[in-house]
Amino acid sequence: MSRLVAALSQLMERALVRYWKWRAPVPTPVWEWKTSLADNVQQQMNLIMPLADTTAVGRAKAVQMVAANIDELFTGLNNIGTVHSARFDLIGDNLCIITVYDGDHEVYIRDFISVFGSVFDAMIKVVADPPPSPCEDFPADFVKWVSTHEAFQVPGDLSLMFPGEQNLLNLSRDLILLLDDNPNVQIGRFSGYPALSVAQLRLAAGIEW
Amino acid sequence: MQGQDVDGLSGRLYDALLLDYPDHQEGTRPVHTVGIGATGYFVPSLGAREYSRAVQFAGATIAVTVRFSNGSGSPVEHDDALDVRGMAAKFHLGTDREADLIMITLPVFFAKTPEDFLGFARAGVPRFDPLPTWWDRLVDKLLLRPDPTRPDPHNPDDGSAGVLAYANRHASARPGTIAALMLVTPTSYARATYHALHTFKATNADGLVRYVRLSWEPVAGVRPIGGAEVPEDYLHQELGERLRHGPARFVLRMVVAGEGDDVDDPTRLWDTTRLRVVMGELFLTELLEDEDACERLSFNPTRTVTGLECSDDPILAARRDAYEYSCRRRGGTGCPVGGGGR
Repeated sequence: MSRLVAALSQLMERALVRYWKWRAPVPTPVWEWKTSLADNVQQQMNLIMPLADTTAVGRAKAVQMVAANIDELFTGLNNIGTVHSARFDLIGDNLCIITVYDGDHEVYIRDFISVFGSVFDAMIKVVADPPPSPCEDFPADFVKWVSTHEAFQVPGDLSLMFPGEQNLLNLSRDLILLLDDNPNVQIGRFSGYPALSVAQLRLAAGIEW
Repeated sequence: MQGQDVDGLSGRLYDALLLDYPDHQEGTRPVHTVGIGATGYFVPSLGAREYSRAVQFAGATIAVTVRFSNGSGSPVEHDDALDVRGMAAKFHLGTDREADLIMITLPVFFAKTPEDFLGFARAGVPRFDPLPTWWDRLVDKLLLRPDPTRPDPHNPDDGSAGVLAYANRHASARPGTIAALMLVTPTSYARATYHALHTFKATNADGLVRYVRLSWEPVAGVRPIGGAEVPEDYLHQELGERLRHGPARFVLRMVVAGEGDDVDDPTRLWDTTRLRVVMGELFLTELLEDEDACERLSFNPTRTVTGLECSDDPILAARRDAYEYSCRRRGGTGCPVGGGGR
């Protein structure tokens, strides 16, 4: 009985979300470029790429593709020189690249293309909606494609997320509608050493750069 | 002339706060009325002096008095109410020298000018707020709004609706109001994080000035009570019990402003990407036995020393005189700021 109630409740919620998306749509906020040095180190890129084949066979192909290119990936990440960390994960039916880096977002993506563009060309063969390839020939398309596949990053100050909202009681609805458009979201982030760049850390630790 | 309320602002701020607490008792603090004192010591970190030449960061252990409090101006203790908690710390720096750090469990304030705050305080006058009916709940469901909650389960008179309406009309009040909506009730005064709200200027021995914000983070970690049933004075009881078993410890963390951060506006959060420095650790070892002395003790957010000084935040400037005014109204000790009156 409780499962039936839960199912009916979810059905009603879906209908309400559709209604409110029509009645009071909420645009996904676009963040402005900031000039502070602290804003330009340890940036996050959470690239979520839906797999074309979500069976275990398709997932295994994605794992093998990353494993087969690990030297190219690690050497490339070392050569970029501004990467704090990079992870290649399968989460649900998605291939994910989750990285922390210093500097400009577009420059970072273009660095990716130049140091391991061929890995990306292999990678996009296993994703559901690939951009034009080879990516080296279509860098602008690739940058745009990456931007549309990044998890939306919720700001620490929630009041900045919906500046046009005139009634704070509606913020929870705004959030619901935002999540309906952006199912993948970065909710919070923590750094043990905020505001420090890869270069500063490697220099301080004496491990060369 | 400090604290003399030359333009009447301090009195107006004081009176506006009293409007929010009709049962306020003359002779007590207008807000954060119920409190408990503790004593201990502060040990600065080795790196603190790189950022501040203030005496409390020079290297020696400093005696400290702390008063924890509930935010309400009511004299009736309701530790279980969903309320802001306060932690006022006084660093005893030697003969007649003190520095205070006043922090609360909200990371941002509700107003960026004293006049704004007057409006905000007046909006928070409690009104009878009946429990929502099934119809109200249905409407909220259809509007995709959360279920309403009552901050103080004992009190049907509530200023939340007025505050919400004010924040809807004043963008600067929104971050603080949203933060207040997400408040939790801690299991202990020693298990909450407290923020100084305002920006201060930290100056090191080389004269390098940095704009900074400060927080006390509990070493035991943050823990809310959740839905647990607790006695109305459990925070007081718990602190005494805790200190009998060992010190309650807090780390003083300092965040350094980045380029473009608003250093005079306490309604604006800074991003978590800002440089964060450990300035030292506080050890609270025993309760303050003399409760009357604790209640008379004056704290002031502008009581600072060279090396950690006030920014130009207009709310901080107004608090200086408002706290002095309040101190005199209730016959407090330790005012005026810098006057050595005890």
